[in-house]
This record gives sequence, structure tokens and C-alpha cells, in this order.
Amino acid sequence: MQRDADGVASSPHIHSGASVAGVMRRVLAALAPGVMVSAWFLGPGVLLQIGIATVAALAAEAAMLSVRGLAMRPFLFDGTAIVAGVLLGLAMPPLAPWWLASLAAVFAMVVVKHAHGGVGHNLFNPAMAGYALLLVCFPYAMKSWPAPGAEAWAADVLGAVFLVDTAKVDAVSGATALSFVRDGLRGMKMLAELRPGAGASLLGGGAAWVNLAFLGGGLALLAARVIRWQIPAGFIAGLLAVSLLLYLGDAQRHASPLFHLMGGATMLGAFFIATDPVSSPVTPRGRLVFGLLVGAVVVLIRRFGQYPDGVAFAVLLMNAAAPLIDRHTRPRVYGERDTR
Amino acid sequence: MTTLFSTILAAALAQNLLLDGLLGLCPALALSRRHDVAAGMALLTLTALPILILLGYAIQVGVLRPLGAESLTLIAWALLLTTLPVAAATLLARFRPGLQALLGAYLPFFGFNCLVLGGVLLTTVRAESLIQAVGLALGTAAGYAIVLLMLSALRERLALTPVPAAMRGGAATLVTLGLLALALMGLRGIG
Repeated sequence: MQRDADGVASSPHIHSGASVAGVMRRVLAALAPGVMVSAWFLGPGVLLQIGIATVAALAAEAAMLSVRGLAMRPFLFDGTAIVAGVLLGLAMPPLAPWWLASLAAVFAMVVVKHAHGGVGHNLFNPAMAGYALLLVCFPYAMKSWPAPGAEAWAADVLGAVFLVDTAKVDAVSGATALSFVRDGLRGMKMLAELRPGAGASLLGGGAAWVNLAFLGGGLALLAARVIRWQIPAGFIAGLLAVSLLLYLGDAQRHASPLFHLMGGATMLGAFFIATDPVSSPVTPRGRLVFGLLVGAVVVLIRRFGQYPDGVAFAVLLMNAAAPLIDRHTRPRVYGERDTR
Repeated sequence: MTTLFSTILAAALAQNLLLDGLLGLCPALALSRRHDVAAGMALLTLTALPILILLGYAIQVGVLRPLGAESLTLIAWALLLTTLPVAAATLLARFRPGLQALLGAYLPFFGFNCLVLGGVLLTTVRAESLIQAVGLALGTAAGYAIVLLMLSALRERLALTPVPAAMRGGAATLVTLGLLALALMGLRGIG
């Protein structure tokens, strides 16, 4: 039997039984370890934010389905709104007020998803667009992450989130490792000078463990063939290449590739966010290019930009470029003239 | 070299004329429906816009400012920016009729809109040296061309999706453009 490079045989095909809901269930299962490790290090606020974002996303999805006159049951519970809610909740600072995550979830579902046609048609990753909206509109609230090792927050999560008690949030928040390193380097400090103040290590606050947990879940998705290798591999290669170039250029003024690899939302972005099948390119080569560019832009934003992490913006930018990338990496059909 | 590179980068991305300056929206919306038309406009932008911007900059900084006649700047630019594209259109019709057929209707307007005037103005205001002016001119053109290409590819995909009736056409395109601008805001500070 003839098979192409991806091992796909020529028609007729047998349906594998895969469905949107099935894929989303497996994505959620693969996210679980990372979610639990995040909650271990950052407190129950993580789970609370995920809950708020998911409920708001489902409510907005239901409202849009009813307005558009679409069938409620198959679309509402296909899991796409739940996955968007979970990703958004993971991106939120654990002590952010409840209306922030709700606003982002409603924006994601109404403006990003349904205004462009609904499930399978959104041009941008809804969760990341919602998160980017918050970063742009409410930069201060979105920067208030609990400082590594702050113990006091555990008891007051509900008060901080639902009563919007900003004093409690301010009391325990501090710069994340990413912001801390960038602000220090921008202030013309050397990397060596930054280490002592940041706690035991720059990867403190459990960032490395969280990233490892998401890496594990991502590899499971890869093994289950829910996602393809091109985007995560490209993402990590692009991130390592640019950070290594900067690091080799001046090791005192740029964080190490390992820091970028194991810090922030690297693994979550590489395996769960950039791999969104709707808003990323379709062709294998296009996916590799897409991943490389996302990884490269992440490092540039982390080092030179103004926002805490670059994953959301990098993914959105490349979402915007995805149709263009597809256009230029489309395999030529044998016998077709190259008219690109 | 570093100055030139970072100026180009900043002008193309974070200070993008279209998405940050909100200039040149009409040609971008009018010419991005089809990818081949957008590619032609992008090519035109890449070649013509830096020349126009640098000519405008040269007239302002090299001629009018030494003469103390800066009050004439807008008049001088209007003359320059209207005559040159018309001359270019005539030449194109003579030597490249194919391209002229594709872009002919738009070319005469190329010099008389906020895209070019805004590019010249912002470059003259921002540039502190000739090398910065060159960087700004190149970056402005490159940024506009890239966004135009991205937008047209997005719109060709958007045309295939079941956009709700209320959002079809211009509304969905403006939402796309807004999300594109949101994405680009992440690059603030780079360059």
C-alpha cells in the first residue's frame, strides 16, 4: 500500500473514531499533571482561576450558540470551551479578581471565536487573545503574582479573588522570575548580581517543576498522536537557538537557554497552546516554521519587551501569520505550475 | 549598524504604521481582499514608500529647514507626493502594463493619503539623524507590507468561514485587524 511521508495511506479511509470531544478530553487529561503541580506551588488560586474562566467560557459559549441558533449539546460540550477556559485560568495570576478571568473568557468566546465563525474557524487562539487583552488593559493586576515562597496567601484566596481585596494581593505579590531577571538586566545589572536576591535559584517558585509536568503531559499527547511533533520541536528549537545566540553574545547580560526552557510558560506554550490545530498552520513544514518563529519571538519579548511572558503574544502573532505560512509551504501538486 | 537595525525593527513592528499609528487603513482594507493584489501593493509599498519618505525628509531637513521656511513643509510635501506617484503611474503604464492593470486604480492615490503623508511626517519627527531616517523609512514600508500580506492571507481564510451574518464582511475584517494589533502590542519595547 502506498503511504506518504506522514504514513497516511491513499483513500478509502476508515474513520479512526477521533472526535473533537475525544481530542479535547485527552488534552485535558494531559494538562492535569501540570495543573496539579502549579496548584501545589502557587496555591488553590490556580484551581479557582481555572474554575472561573471555564464557567465564564461555557456561559459565553452557550449564549453565543443560542444567539446564533446553533445546536447547544454537541457544541457546548465538545470540550473546546473547557480547554480554552483551562488554558486561560492557567495563565491568570492566582489572586487576580474574578471579573478579570471572566472578562477574558467572554472576550475569547464571543469576539475571538464566534465573531470568526465558531469552533474550527477562529483565526487566533481564543484563550491567548483573552489573556493578551488583560495584559494590555490591566497590566498592573496581571503582574501581581505571589512571590516565590510567600506562605500567607493560602488562607485568603477567596477574599482576594471574590472580594477583590487588593491589599491582600499586594502584601504577598512580587516579581516573577522572568520579570525579575529582565528588569535587572535592563537596569544594566549583571546576571551574577541578580542571583542572590532571587531566592535559592532563578528557577525558584517551582517554575521548573511546573514546566517538567507540562512537558510530561505534552509528551503523552505526542505519544497518543493528538499533536504532531513539528510545532513543539520547532518552538523549543527556536527558543533555544535565540536564547543561546544572546547568551553566547554576552553571558552576563542575557539569561541562559536553560532558564528560558524551564521558566515561564515554555512547555505549556510549546505543547498545549501553540499546537492549537485551528489557528496554527496545516502543512508539516509550515508547522515547523511556525514553531521556530513562536519560540524565537518568546525569547525576544521576554528579554526586550514589556510584558511578563512572551508566549501569548508570540502565539497570537504567529496565528496571524499562519495562513501566510500555509500559503508559502503548501506542497506543490505534481504537474502544477508554481504560481506562488 | 545596530542603530539602523533596531530602528528598522521598531518602525516595522512596535511602531507599525498601520496597527500602531492607525494610518493607511483604507488602502490596507481595500487591497487585502485578494492575496495577489495585496502582494502587488506590498511590493509597491516596499519600493515606493521608502523613496517618498526619504525625499520628503530630504526636502524638509535639507532644503526648508536651512532656509527657515518650514511653514511651507506641508505644501512642498503635497506637491511632491502627488506628482511622483502620478509620474510613476504613467511610467508603469508605458513599461509594465500588466502591473498597471492590477494596481492602476490605486497608484495615483498612493501619494495622497495618510499612509505616505503619515510615514513622511512621523519619520521627520522621529529621525534624529540620516541613518535613523533611512531605518524608519525602510522599517515603515516593511512593516506595512508584512501586515498587508498577513491580513490578506487571513481574509482569504476568513472568507471560507461561517461568520455570523451580523459580522460578515467589513466587521469581521476589522475584528481581525484589531486582534492583529493586539498581538503586535506584545512587541512594545523591542527595537
